[in-house]
Amino acid sequence: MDVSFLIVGAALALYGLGALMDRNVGKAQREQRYHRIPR
Amino acid sequence: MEIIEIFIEYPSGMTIRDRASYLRDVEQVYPSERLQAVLREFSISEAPPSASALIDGADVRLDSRTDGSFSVGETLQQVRPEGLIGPLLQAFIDPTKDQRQQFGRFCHTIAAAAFLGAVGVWHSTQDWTVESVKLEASLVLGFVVTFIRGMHSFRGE
Repeated sequence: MDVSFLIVGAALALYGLGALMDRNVGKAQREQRYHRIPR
Repeated sequence: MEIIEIFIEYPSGMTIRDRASYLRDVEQVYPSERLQAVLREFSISEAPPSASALIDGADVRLDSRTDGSFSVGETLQQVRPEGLIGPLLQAFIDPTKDQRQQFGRFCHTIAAAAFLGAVGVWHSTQDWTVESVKLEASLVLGFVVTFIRGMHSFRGE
């Protein structure tokens, strides 16, 4: 297997993992921020 | 009857932290008369607050009732996932701020390694064949991608 593709693939996998973490943090924050008790 | 911690948060930034009684059978939370009086008083001048409680280690939403008590709503955040794979995936599915920053540091470490690798390949290559150009390009691309990812993970909340 070409090591060039391995390097780019690993970098893209890291980018994907980081994007997943960012997405889930944003989702949890939105859920916590916007729930309100109706008066 | 159990005693739990409840949190009342107003949009103005004011937060009230108190303890209340929790009836597990009917899934209702009964705050003290003092807290109910305070909430009634604040409702005149404040926008509706959000209420949550810590029950069994999980952060749950509280819905207000007309009699001044609260009913237990949906779970906002599970503190600890169960199972064999759950704890392993927890860092990616529900990461904390510190976990994101640690991931950013890891990405920057990989970026530094890719950068040094690119410099090493640049200096050690005598004949620029297609293979060596491809290797150099992949190292540069790997550096750029992991560096940008690290910067994003370091971004504040």
